[in-house]
Amino acid sequence: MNSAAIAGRAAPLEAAVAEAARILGASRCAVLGGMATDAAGAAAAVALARRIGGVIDHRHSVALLRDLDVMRTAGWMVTTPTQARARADLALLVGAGATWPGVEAEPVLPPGAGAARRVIRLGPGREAPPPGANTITAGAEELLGLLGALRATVAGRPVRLPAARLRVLTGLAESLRAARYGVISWSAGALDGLAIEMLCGLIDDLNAHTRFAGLPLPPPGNAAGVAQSLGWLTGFPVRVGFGRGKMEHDTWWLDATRMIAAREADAALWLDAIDGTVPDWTLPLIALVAPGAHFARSPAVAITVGRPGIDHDAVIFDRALGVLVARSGSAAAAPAAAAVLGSILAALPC
Amino acid sequence: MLMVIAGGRVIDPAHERDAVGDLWIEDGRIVAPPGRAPDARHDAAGAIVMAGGIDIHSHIAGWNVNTARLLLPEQRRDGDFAAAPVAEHIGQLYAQMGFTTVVEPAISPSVALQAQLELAAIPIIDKAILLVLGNEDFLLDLLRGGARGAVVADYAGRMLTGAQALGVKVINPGAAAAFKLGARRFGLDDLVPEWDVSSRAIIRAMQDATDALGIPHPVHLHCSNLGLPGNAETALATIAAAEGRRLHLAHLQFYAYGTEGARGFSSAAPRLAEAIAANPAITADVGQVMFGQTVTVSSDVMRQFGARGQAHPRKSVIWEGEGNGVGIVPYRYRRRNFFNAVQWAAGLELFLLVPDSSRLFFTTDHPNGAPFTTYPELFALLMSRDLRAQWIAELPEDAVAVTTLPAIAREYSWAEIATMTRAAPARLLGLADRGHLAPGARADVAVYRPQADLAAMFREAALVFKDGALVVRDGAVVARPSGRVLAVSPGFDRAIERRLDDFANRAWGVAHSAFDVPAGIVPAEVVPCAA
Repeated sequence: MNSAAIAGRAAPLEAAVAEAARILGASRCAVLGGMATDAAGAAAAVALARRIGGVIDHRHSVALLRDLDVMRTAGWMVTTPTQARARADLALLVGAGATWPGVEAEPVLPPGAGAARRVIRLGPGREAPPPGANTITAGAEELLGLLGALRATVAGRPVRLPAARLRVLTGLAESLRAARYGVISWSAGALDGLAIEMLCGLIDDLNAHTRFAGLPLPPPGNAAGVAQSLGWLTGFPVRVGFGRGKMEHDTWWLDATRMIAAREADAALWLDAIDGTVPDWTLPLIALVAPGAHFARSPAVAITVGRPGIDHDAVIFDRALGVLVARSGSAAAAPAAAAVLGSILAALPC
Repeated sequence: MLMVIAGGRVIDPAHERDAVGDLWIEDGRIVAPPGRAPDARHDAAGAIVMAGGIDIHSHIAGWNVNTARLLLPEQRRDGDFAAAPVAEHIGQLYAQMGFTTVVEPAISPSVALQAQLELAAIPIIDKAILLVLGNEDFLLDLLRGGARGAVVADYAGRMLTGAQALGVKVINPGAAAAFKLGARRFGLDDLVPEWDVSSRAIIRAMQDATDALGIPHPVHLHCSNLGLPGNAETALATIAAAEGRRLHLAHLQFYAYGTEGARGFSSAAPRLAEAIAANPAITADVGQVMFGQTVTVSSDVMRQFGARGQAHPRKSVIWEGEGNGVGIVPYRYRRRNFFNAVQWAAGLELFLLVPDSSRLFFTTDHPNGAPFTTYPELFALLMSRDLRAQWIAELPEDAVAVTTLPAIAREYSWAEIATMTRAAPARLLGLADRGHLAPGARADVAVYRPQADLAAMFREAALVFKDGALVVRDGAVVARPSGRVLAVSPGFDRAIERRLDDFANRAWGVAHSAFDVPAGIVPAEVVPCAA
């Protein structure tokens, strides 16, 4: 499983690390993208980026930042999937990909305990609904307006909608107001920022009368875990740059894809230890990827790294529990990303 | 290597030492003068030599602190945000002030792993967490069922072990659970709906458990009704509820409020100081307010929900997790604000009116009263009545009128500072080899150079040693070793694990151990429990 290559030719790991260090050491502005890695990998990437004045971005930054931007402009009230599972008497799933582990389970803690959870889906009707869920079909283009109307209805303000739609919405508003602990979930990849902000406002309004919490479902690739690690290491979630001698964060400027398209970056390190995806970037590329990655074109350096929590012990964000957890892995031939990043750092020219 | 810190005024109240002399260090420990020449010599003539400072209550890690970081990117446009610095800066800033051990006092079990990773990223200083217990459904179910003390102790022991924690924190017990069930207020004798368990009963159960396990640190309690006018009554009732048993009251300033004066808000600090003095088993830390921008981070979710309207800037996060959860509300304390001025004065009154500096601890409840970077100014205020008078002159007169601060003459001595921030915290936490300078003690040492500007002296220690290694010289960090994590390892009956797993599988669909901090991720130094 242990494999490394330089320009498509198999090479010893040490040689690949040395070549990666040479490329990064010679770059004026390198981006560290992908970043699908564990807590140790994130810490090692920060150390490397700090040293080379690089930029760190995650391949799911767009969805991650869509949630975070709502949180850090308007604030929010949220909970964990485990709390939702144990307690919620009502679950409102908004948009595609909004179902969560255990939504179909019977709540066992108050106030939800003793009755089946009411599950209502609002959004495109393409996915198979959880068992017993009611679906209110709404196209993506219609959703934002509908959420605004729902918030107004819950607040008792008049809204103008076709009669049939209004009946559905009024019924939904009544269900929400009657819930004792409601959870509204969404996946930021499927909603726009305004819709998320509208949901958070709705949750605020509902908490004036009863209890509600949001459940933002984070994107894959350990995006939430990496954002946490970067939080305590840099103060910022993703799109963090070290190029000007201090830590900086800018969601537009430090977008790895944009920087590469605009030729602001002259080298890249791509790290996907989880799914082994590879970008189609054409600049000098160092790819640290999970076993089985497929390259359309050979990167300057390719190093196979272990999958966190499968091939090696790791701390990653568990999307079913909503917190960082430790996962043990069996010792595999492929090294952990953190170890490879550490070797590259150590091999950099002084 | 044998080293001597020569000719300083060595202040070690744990051994009633306050005299000019030498301090010898070898292999990371204080040693008796060995009668041979040192390999290294540090001149401390004219300087003050004390053990490294110990902060018993400072929010430096965990889901709440990290959420505060992520919530407020605009606060770090021109450098780090003092109220929520990154891990690296936490270690460096504390070390520069001569602090070498810091306790993060509010980590819920489900996020202990993250907190430990964050602590591991903080250099130089030693760290520990207190584990928040008291609002978990499993515990409430045990207490409702009239569980015997031993079972609750087994539960607490198992949770402390899984999280690698140093002690038990209890935060507005029952309130977070009641908030999930729609309550908006919760006092000492209110019952959690559905569970029928009172705050008072939870406190007592955790006192019993802590004593049964022999945990050195007493239950570290964040009382109910934080921040509300008239809440001194709550604090007094809680002190009475302890019935002479040991109990630590966190950030007492936030409970030092009466209802006198035209605005129905006044300092009740003198009454609380009297009660502390009269109850020798009670300890407290102050939670001093200092003026400026900060962010309040608290696992008192009900209180933080109520405080959202006062957010500055206007945004906040409530995160409802297992047990307590988290509330993050940014806030700016203003010198010209009547309420903030009363809070500032009430904190200082507590510092100055509690006579025994071994039972009152130096905190700002970082960052809730102020960032820990304000400690130098606070030390200066305690040591100088003139400086206090200058500050008081800037406050609204009606605020000053509802406090007794202007009349208080006391100025802290060096020995009292050393007791409050070194000797007493080590005793309170059960850290036998810290907080003092006798042979055998860990060579965590701070050297300060007296100067007219007291705050400058505390902000930039002349020399700081961690385990005998020089880490700060003239206020600048010169080395950044990794600090340790301190934890207890109490004995408990493992039969509790089956019950915990039954509960967790039923409620959350996962084994309870999923939230554990695995051994080896963060190697901890074990702090012994009483037999």
